[in-house]
Amino acid sequence: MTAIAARRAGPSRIGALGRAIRRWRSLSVGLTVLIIFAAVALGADLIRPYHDAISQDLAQSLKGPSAAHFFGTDEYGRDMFARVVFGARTTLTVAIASVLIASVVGIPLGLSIGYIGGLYEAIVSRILDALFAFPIVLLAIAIVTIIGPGIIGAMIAIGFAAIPTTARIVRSSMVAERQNEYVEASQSLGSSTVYIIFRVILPNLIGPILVLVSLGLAYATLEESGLSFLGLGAQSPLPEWGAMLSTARLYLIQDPWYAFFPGAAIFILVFSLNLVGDGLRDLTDPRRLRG
Amino acid sequence: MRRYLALRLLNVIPVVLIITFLVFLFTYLIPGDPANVILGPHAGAEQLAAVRLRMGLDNPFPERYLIWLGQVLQGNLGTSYLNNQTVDSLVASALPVTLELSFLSLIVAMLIAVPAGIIAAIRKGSFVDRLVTGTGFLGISIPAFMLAIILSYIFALNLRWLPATGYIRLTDDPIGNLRSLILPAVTLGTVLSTQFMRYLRAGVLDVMHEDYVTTARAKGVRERTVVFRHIVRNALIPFITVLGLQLGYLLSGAVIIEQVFALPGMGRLALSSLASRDYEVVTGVVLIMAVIFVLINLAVDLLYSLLDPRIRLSGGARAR
Repeated sequence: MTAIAARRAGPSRIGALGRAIRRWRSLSVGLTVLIIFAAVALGADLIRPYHDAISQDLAQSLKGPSAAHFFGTDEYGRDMFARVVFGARTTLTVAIASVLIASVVGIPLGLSIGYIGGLYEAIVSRILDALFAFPIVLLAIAIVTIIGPGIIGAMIAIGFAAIPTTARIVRSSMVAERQNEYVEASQSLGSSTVYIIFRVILPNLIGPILVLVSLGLAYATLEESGLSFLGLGAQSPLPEWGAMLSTARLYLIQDPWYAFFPGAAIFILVFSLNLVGDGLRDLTDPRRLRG
Repeated sequence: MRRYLALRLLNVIPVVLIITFLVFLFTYLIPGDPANVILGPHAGAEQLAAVRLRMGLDNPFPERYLIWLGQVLQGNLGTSYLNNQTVDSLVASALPVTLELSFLSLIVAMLIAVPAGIIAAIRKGSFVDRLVTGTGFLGISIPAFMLAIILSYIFALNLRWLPATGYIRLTDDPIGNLRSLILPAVTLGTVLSTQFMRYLRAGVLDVMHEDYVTTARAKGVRERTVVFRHIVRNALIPFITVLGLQLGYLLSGAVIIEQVFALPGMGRLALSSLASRDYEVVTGVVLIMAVIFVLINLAVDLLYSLLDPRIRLSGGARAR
């Protein structure tokens, strides 16, 4: 990056530096927010006991924010602050698990079809095309039909739905990377295909894969809240933001705060994941840093 | 061109076959005995056996798949367990709603994204550009159902300009039909437009520095002509592929939005059938939606090849 920048004339070098710092800023802001959410998810029990998130107090139902209930209460008088805090755990668990499913299946598939090509690529690509054709909500409906509603079904649905995209993006990175001379060198040394794919080329694709994972997490978070909103994901009384919004919209007139906090939580988490993904993309892609 | 067409059409056949196989696998994996579901909990063993025989439930898996596939290919998707309506007729009444919503959303998205994306790219770094990129970034971070709640809170519950829920058929009352779809289409279209804006802005920026744009300027073509004839036209062509890729998002989003605004489309049909364990209907909806996705994608690809001669002349599949 510095070598490229140094060749350019003065003003544009300063411009590139300025852009790099701005990018770093969005990356660090995104990461900071993300770390806060992760800490909240991990340490939820230290912030509020889980009991607060599920214990009902009908006398206190649909109250706005107060000193006793920072985020107000829901229709059962449950403390919304505790529910939003524990909701972070639900959402992050599902998002991480589904990105893990998509990565564990999609990355090796994308690497191998990109490297091997030919009939193997043609066959795998058709299967991926078929999987890609199922809109995620319908995929989730199908999976919930088989295994019943719950966060496991949501993880599988979101993970499976993301496999084709993951594989395609990794494939195109592989196709570009395969052209390099170091790959040819390794081939002529007689390395096995598996060794070349995973030990020689994969380490050079970590940048794009990191971008893919962080943007995938943003997407998975959106989908997770959507599925729970439809009743296909987290089931009551498990605290989950999308499910909270689904009931909150019935009380919009009486208590708009009810919808506000879970909605804001989804938005801020997805926003920070997008910031991280975008920042990483600009850092790992020198073309964008210059342009 | 013919070679490209043939290749592209040949690709669709295995994809559709794999889709039918996945959908059949799904019906096979559904827990519980369909014969039991039809006859209810008090059926005797003989009755069950008779129904199982009639439905071919005891046949081996490949045979059942082929019989099922044969029926599907004849356009027979089965019957609802609940009210004996054919799945075909249920789909026939729900599908137009989903397609109408998707189509209107697409129009809204284009109306927002095309001017915004182009102006942002041409005035790169300006206030407008920052506004477009900024709202675009906010837009990809908000779930469609959340925007739906916000918009219906403002325009339906507070201002009472538009209905909050419900659907009026086009044939019953065209104005009412449009009114019932404005909020859903604006919601989905706005979310979609933020994706489109990003692609369009990047596309225009790519084209802006092509040699033929410099040439056009050098030979004294008016700036407006350069922008519209040379830049925008060529930036819009690759954008067509983006339409194909965002189609899944559009259909999936339509399903969620239908639920929020109580529109009787495919998503609502699938969700209510799931709730009443009416699995034949769920299967039919999933299959039809997946096949429609493939067919629209095919249409998008063919349109792309018509507009971009490089694709059809090279005869190869476009790079994804």
